[in-house]
Amino acid sequence: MTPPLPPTNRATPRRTGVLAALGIACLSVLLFWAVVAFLLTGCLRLSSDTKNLRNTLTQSLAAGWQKEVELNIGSGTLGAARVGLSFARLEPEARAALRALHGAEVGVYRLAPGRPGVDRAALLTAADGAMAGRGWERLVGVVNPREFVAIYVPGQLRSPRAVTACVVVLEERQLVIVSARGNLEPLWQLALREAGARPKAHLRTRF
Amino acid sequence: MKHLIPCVVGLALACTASSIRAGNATSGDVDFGKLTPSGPGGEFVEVHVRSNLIAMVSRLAEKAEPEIAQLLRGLHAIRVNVIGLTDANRPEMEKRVQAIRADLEARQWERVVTAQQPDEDVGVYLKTRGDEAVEGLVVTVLEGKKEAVLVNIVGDIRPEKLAVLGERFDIEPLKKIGHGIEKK
Repeated sequence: MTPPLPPTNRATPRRTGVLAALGIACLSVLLFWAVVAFLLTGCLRLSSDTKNLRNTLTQSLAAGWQKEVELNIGSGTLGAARVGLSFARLEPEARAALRALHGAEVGVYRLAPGRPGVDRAALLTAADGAMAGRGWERLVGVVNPREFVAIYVPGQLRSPRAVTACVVVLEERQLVIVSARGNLEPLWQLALREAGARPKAHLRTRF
Repeated sequence: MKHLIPCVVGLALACTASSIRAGNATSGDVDFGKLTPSGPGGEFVEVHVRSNLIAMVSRLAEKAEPEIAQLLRGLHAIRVNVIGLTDANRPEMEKRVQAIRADLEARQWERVVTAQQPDEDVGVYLKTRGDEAVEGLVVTVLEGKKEAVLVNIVGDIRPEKLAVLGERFDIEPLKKIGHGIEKK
């Protein structure tokens, strides 16, 4: 008489399949959370140009800057925002601006209490140096006791459909750095409509 | 070796031609010097639009505003400086404005507008190319004890187009300058 087969041999293929399925499920969950973590930290990471500017302004000039927020909003996030906002009532200008935007980075920093105020002239010089080193040129600079605004654009501007600009604003003890990239064409159309709609503009002097 | 000399001569001629072209293209460019904020209480505004951005805006304006696009195409740079005058920088800025004016006159720039009042000193200078075109425009203003304004527009500026630009965007100084030049 032939001895019966041991019971384990009949159950092995089934258990292997279950183990494999469990392994794949665990791996998928881990992968999912790894992607989420990567995206989240990517949202909190500034690009190298913006980071360089931030470091120059917050470390070299006046110590004691505290980070309030740093965000990097990419095209994926903006796309989701556009889909969501398509159901909302928005002004045409706001919708045009959102359509034109491809990505944006924002950094907000506050000078710690008790620290002396910032020398605005030195801030402009430092920002100019940091940006010039990365191939950016200053388009606008405004410095007075109430305002500080500097706008930079890349030295090489290729297409109006892919324009980048970086804006630095200092308001009292809060420093804001914004870098945005997008398509200038819809904004240009908007500006022309505004210029046509307002017959008397604001550029008058005593000449 | 027999190709080397013609190559060098050709290269030298090309460089000379391009430098002449470059010289013509920027003869309307005026160096105001390095201008910086005057200190804690001073006002400082600087707008410097370079040729790359002007070219881009010109392409954008092509369809909707062809006249403006054509005007912009001829421009190389637009620079505007507004410096607040304080006790610390007033003598230096007044001297610098006078030096800029003297330099322009020495370089045969034509002073087309002069307005001197107790609290305002305005000078408008043009660099012309024949009777047809203006290569550069400089406006210098000393507004009493408050501020100094320096404007330089570089490029192929047609006087009648300056007035058009002024009318289109309602920029009074450009309207007046454009019409003033046309009347000459």
